[in-house]
Amino acid sequence: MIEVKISGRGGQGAVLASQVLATAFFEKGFYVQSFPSFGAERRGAPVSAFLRVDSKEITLRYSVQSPDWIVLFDANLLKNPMVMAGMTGKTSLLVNSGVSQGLDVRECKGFYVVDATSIAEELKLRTTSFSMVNTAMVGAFAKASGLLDLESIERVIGEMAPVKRESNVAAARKAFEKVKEVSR
Amino acid sequence: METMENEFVHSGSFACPGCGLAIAFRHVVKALGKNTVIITTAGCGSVVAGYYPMTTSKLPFFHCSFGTVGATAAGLRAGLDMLGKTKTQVLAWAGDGGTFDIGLQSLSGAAERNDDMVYVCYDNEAYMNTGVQRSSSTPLGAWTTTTPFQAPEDRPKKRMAAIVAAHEIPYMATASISDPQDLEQKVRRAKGIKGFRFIHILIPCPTGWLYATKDSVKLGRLAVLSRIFPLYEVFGGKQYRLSPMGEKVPVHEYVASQGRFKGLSEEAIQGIQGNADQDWTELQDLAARSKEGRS
Amino acid sequence: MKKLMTGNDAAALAAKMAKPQVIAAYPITPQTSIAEKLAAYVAGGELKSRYIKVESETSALAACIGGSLSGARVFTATSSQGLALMHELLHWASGARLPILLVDVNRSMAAPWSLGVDHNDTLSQRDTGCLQIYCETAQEVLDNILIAFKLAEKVLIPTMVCMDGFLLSHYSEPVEVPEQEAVDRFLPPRKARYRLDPSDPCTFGGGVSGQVLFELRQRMQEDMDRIPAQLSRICREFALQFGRQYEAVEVFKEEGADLALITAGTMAGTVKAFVQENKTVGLVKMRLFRPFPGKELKKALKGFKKAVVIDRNLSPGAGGIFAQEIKAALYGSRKRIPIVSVIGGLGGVDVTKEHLDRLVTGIRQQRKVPTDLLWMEV
Repeated sequence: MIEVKISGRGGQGAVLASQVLATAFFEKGFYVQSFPSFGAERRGAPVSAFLRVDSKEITLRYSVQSPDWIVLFDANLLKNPMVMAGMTGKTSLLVNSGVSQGLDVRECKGFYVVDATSIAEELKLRTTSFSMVNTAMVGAFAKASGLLDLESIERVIGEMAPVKRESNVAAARKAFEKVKEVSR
Repeated sequence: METMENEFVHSGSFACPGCGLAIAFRHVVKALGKNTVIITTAGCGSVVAGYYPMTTSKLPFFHCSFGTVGATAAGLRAGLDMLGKTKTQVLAWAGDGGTFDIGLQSLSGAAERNDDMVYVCYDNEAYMNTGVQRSSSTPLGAWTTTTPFQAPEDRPKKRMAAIVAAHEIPYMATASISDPQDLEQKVRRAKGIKGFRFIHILIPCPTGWLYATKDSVKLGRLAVLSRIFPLYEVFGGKQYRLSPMGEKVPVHEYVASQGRFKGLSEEAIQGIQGNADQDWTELQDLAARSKEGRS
Repeated sequence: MKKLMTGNDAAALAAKMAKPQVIAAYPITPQTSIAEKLAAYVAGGELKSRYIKVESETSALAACIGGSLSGARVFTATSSQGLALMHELLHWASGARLPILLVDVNRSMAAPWSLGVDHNDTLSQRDTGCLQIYCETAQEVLDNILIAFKLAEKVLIPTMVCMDGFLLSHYSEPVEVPEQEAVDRFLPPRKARYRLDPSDPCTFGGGVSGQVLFELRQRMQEDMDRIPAQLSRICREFALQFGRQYEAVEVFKEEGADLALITAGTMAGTVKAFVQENKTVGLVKMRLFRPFPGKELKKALKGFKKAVVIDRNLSPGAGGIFAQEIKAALYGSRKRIPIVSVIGGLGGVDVTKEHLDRLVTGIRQQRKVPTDLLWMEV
């Protein structure tokens, strides 16, 4: 079973990203369980969404304790202890960042970065408050984890994006191509 | 008006960016002062105040069950009086849900008994805290999650002011976050009166009204200027006095600035204009009659 | 066809497929998306129903009572504080023998405010004369709402279908969605024999003598006693139509499991995962709580030497509520196995496989079976 934690700020689309991934895995025949973090949800506050994927039925139900992947929509969240809780040496990290040096990262299994903000801005994917990096991050996750192919991601985003379908699909594709592993 | 002094809220709260409620709360408690106890109930006002172990209030604060603010505040008042604390103000702080809907019974009870409290309704025109469902305060034509765009709100906003005024309470006022001095003045005026005092504040909400977070004050101002939410006071349920407001403007800009009215036709907007004009005429008439002593 | 959906989505969908004619609901976290989805179905024309946007939960159930008295099929949903506001009317609805379907999304009761799950809200209503069914998965939510409508309308008793707040209402998982025609065959429109109808005027609910009340309550209990068998028949019919079998009490164990963990709701799913890795332990899952399925419970406990009841609730001053009722049901048995009572998961705190492991290990290590109330670590 794989457990993924996706964290962003309220309004950045972390929950939708987890639903896109859940759908992509589900359509590939996996059993999935996905859910948001619970509590006061306000725009701008850190929000996490979780995903469990397995080849057989997942019956357990509680919060994700030690995720295999932590995906951050905002590099500042690296400094947030609640967001980073559960990270162990077996966790892989994917961070939205234009730089790969100087990020406060502890020991982890794999460390990947992608400049999702630039990709989103280039494609004019934004709301009044945020760059909508979620679809780019989904594309980057698919490549970094090696768990999903680009075609499934593009198809699911095409079906689920509430607006700007083509731009969102393009964002995922660009991020899939651009995500890089950072060696440390 | 002093600013940044004499504050009764800690900086930081759980409000959404751009929340009108946080502004309103700050000014209300500033005007009421230190010798105040606050009762609030389920709603944004409760969540904004914070989760244990944090609170944004520097004043004593109690969270009561939904719909019982009027009664809870009445009980608190009675206890405080019996303990000799007659000068302590009781602030009942509730949203449109906790006032117009589920809270109407206990509000009416407290008003009818003329229980001594300042009841402030922070009105963001829907059940915002649970995710933007309609309330009886939701205006005609507005989107909410229970009045989606295919079937937007089809009932007019409940006339809360008229209902409260009909209880013939000593003092009632409307206020806006766009006019904080007017708001504070009204709260201070209320503070000097005994009995049931009611202040109705319009609270623009970017999350539920669908506009950019920086525009809350602007929308509050447009609501007043368009006379959709005029500022006035009522004394004894009968004497109406208009507050200073800028020159009247058409409703169009107010309506067009909000995503919740996105689906409205030109005809519907004209209907809103018509209703606002009619209500404004009636209000002016009431004020004029009060001036002439004819109310 | 399998689709990803949350427990709330499943509840709204099941309600839609059951075609209730009157819906009255008031939003409360974590039920809200049920109210919203139903509003969208009605606004979009997918569901022909009168949706009353009531001003409180008391009014929600009052409106359902009125709606049900007309002979229409009715539905409502709520949670914790809202259910508490319905308390008086739950008595009314059951006394009036109205087949109202109520979905409760379990959530802790204030004070203080808490959004996490525990079962105090519905269990506090166990004496109101309503049926109670607890669900573990979104599939169960969907299926059991359909089953419950059928059962309620047959036995004329209001029925509560319960799901854990957040852990079930907000978890997205695969659900098999039945075909509408199959649902229509399983659950045809309501035929109300007793209703307010000018063509056949009756008065309902007027004052009665003590003797009449006594008789009515006795009849209610007799009707309750018949329900496990009736539910079983309806579930068999459901299984034939849709391929999924439900029991009042379900057992998951390997041969030789000697310790039973008894629980309800989503915790049963976690226990299921635990017992798959710890084959000396078995799961006894309580789905039906009212009427209390004593016979089915005894049958489920056969072969176990010890039972641990994990209550996600607390009756302050008395302990875990399931444990009380389980002990009462087993009191008259000739062979009584020891029952350990544990409180866990209040306020929605996590109960993980590791917690269960430590609990079971701890109990096994003690020479004597603990008789005091145990508290699961947080």
